[in-house]
Amino acid sequence: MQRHFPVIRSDAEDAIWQAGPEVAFVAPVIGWQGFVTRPQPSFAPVIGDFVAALSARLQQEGRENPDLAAFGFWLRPRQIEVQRKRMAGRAPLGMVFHLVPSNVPTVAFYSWIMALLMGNGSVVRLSSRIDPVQEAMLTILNELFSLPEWQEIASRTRFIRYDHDERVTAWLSARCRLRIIWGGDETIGRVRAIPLSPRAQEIVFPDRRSMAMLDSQWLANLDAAAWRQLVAALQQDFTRFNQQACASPTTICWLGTPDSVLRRRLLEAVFAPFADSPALMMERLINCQQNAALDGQMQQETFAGVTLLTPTASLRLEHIGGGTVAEFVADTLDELLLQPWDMQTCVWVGPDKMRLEYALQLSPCCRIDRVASPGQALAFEWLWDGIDMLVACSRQLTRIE
Amino acid sequence: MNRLFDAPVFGLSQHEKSGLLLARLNELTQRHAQGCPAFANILSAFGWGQASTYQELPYLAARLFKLAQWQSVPQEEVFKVLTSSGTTGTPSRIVLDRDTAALQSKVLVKILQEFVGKQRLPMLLVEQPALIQNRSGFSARGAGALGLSFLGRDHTYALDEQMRPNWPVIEAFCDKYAGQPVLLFGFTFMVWQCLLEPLRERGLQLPLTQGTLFHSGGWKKLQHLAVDNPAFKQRCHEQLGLSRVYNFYGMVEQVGSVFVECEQGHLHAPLFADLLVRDPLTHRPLGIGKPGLLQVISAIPQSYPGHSLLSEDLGVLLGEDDCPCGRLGRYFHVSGRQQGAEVRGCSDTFQ
Repeated sequence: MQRHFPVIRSDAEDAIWQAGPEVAFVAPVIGWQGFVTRPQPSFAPVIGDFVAALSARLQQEGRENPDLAAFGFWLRPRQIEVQRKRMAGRAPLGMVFHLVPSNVPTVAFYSWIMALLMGNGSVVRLSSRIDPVQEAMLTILNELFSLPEWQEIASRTRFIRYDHDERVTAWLSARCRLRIIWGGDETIGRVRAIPLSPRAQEIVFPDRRSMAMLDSQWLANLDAAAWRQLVAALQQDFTRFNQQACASPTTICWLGTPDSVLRRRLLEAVFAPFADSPALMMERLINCQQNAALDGQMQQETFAGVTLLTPTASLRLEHIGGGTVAEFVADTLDELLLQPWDMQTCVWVGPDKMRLEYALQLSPCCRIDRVASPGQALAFEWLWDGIDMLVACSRQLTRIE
Repeated sequence: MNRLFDAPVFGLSQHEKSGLLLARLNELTQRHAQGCPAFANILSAFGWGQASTYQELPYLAARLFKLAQWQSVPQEEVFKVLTSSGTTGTPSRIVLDRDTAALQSKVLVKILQEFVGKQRLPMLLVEQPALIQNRSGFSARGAGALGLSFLGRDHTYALDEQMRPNWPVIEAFCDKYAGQPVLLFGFTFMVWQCLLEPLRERGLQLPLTQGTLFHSGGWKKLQHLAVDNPAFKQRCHEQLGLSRVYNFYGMVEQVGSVFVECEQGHLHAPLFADLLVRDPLTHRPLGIGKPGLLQVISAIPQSYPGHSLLSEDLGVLLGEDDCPCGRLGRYFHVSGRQQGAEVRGCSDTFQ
């Protein structure tokens, strides 16, 4: 009887990767040489240690790069430990191929970390647009990847760039075990036409929008300190990344007609970061005219930093962002939830967030994936568009009771 | 419209001119509202109608022509579609019918005759000949050259297909017309890059002492080379022998508005076009001396709703009826382009 397994498998695979497609390697700055597709155990100690080191390093960025500092804080060891316990009994899939958007620079790293925690190696295709936050993050990663203790992580990670070349996408798609496509819809359509290995899974994040619900009565009764706090939080939600993130609200629904002075005061305060940008003023005019071209009955009102549009023919404006916002008023929450909303996030500005969360369970026609408190719209969470990222990046082993 | 063509191009006071022009512009607003439902919707949503002053005129953002095709004539009346030659991003598409194209040529000739006289002069175009011959792929550059070509005769193309100076052709033109009145036309950057620089490298000077150059197309590329308007003029004088060099301002999105620089270095609004300045932060109208976004208006666009456009160019209105050069109407200065914003949704993984 044969007593030995044949060896070589991994060598053969390494050879295939060394002849991999020509791309630019941005982190680590090496070629395909040494790239390891064999996974590690989910939440392996070295992964936990690396993420802890990254978390600490990112939090040092502080004021200079608040987005990275926030990301670092979110990755703090205590949080990771909670997830490790939650993911007990799960195992990695294999190499994950990520196609990430350029509108929110940190998504690339979020997507990569989700795959990494579950033990998977990753190839992350970054967009060609150079973003300062993304560049800062890549510099930090390259710092860490140069240290001997993180070679097991570095060898399983390739952040790359390449021009729109379907052959490269096809090559990587044929060799991954999970493909994650971050929208928009057009990109998803194009990439989906490129075959995956029969053994691979796929997750897609199409274009989504987000909204805020504001309780007019509750707002009217806020004291000055609570008001200031709320405005700062909503500024973060509405104006970070020029309102380009899918989770930034671009629709506002008032529960109860707001007092006109209060409405204006709140909107001008929240959109103050846009008020001194001529470029965004032009974007709003263009969005507004494009929307108006489709709907001559559309109501519009302009305040400093924000243009409010109420379409008459649809709940959805075709052109949004940069302070172009759809606005509606409803008398009650029930009335509001009868509408066929399709929202990734709803920022709840009112007394009792649970009330909305309960109501959503009873409103199957209305898809709102997530309810966030003011200031939390753009926070990373373990669920994205209702998908449990860690679960999606892993498989369940039989439970040993 | 005929009254506009009969009046002197730079000879009406702002008061007289704006009365004539407004009547025509209101007519155009109505025409486009009837022919272009999207424009009619915008008028209604913005509460725009007939205007009693320039400030009340409806205006579209000029960039809208990059985002969609706007036309107020049925498809079968489309005569040609101009596209911008912009080096970055999507080109604008401007739909012309026969009448609008004819009007465009007519006003261009009328405006430029003010500077070169009515005689048709031998003309040297700093262009490649293929551009004009290939009429299907109309770029604004080609259209500009073509519109202007009505002004001249013996059209000679100074560049070859690879955009290099066609030396034998240039030499023959100079032999024939040295010291005589001639007309030159080119885009500012191309005149610099494809004619003035090669001449300098070869240590050559052309004897076009009685020539007039019209050039346009912005200074952005030349700013990188630290070339400004006086430096450009100086080099034209040194290397081409020219003493009359006219910069002009215009955009493909609005046919008919050609603003030529006078001897004082001021851009002048001709009878068929005019200019407003708006605050970049509020888009409210600004008066003389206040820098802002340029809103251009033109009596010519009949086939698409582009008679009043808010551009992303920055400038300042310098005065009305009182330029020392003697031309009446408004005059202004263009200072550059407003920086664009990064506003994009998720739809750009592949950029």
